Amino acid sequence: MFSAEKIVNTNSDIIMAYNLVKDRSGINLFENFIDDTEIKVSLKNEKVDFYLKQISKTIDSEIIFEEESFLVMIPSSEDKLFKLFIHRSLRNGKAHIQERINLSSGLVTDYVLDGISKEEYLSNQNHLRASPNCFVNFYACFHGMLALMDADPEDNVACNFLPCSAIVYASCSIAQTSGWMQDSNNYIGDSSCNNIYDENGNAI
Amino acid sequence: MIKRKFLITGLLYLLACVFFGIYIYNKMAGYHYLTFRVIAMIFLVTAFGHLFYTIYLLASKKDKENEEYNRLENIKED
Repeated sequence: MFSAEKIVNTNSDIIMAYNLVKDRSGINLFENFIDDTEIKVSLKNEKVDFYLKQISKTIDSEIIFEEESFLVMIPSSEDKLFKLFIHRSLRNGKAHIQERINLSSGLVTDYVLDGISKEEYLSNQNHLRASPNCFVNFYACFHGMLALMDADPEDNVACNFLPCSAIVYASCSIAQTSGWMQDSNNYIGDSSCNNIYDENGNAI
Repeated sequence: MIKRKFLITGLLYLLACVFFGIYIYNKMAGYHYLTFRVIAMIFLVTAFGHLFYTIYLLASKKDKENEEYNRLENIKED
């Protein structure tokens, strides 16, 4: 994905990064960890990657993944804007997962796996974070969700008294605008989905 | 009075739909927030309870009207 080549510990770099983020996004992302002074700077093709170490560190109680997250800013010379995302590192013994997380949606846009298969990673994604169920299209969403709810007896009972079809239709409409369908313009990507359901309600 | 009670029943049912919708959307998003389903069910049960109570009130009112009508008819006959 990317690597840190040089570590800089200067306050001016932190202040510059802080001001840039604050000016461009209007949010004080750095406020809670401005005291953490380590910034890693990587020089590649005249681009500078800032890593602010470290914004969170937690241990998942179920699969014991040690988590480290970094806020990353990549200055883009084309549009004079900084691209912001979270770089998340999960370690469990030999298994090492590196993820790129979209700041606004909180969804994984890219990942690199080491010592863990894609199947294992995807099957454990529910423990790592909640990922949406994606669908091939709106039809698949509507029928897939109804099939999912049919399989749950409690949902089934609720659906006897509530207009579930209408509710599912509304939810699928919102999901379509959120990019959870493969035919959406802003599709979040297969890797960000927990499951992808086809028209028959089967996970593919 | 009865009209307002029906309105409240509708509102409770609508709230049940909204909370169940939130539950379904979250389920789709990968979160299983059962609290939303529980809240939806509470609103649903309350809505049905309120509906039956409203119908009971309506029936009582109708009974009273019938009794009054019969009483007046009897007086007229006498």
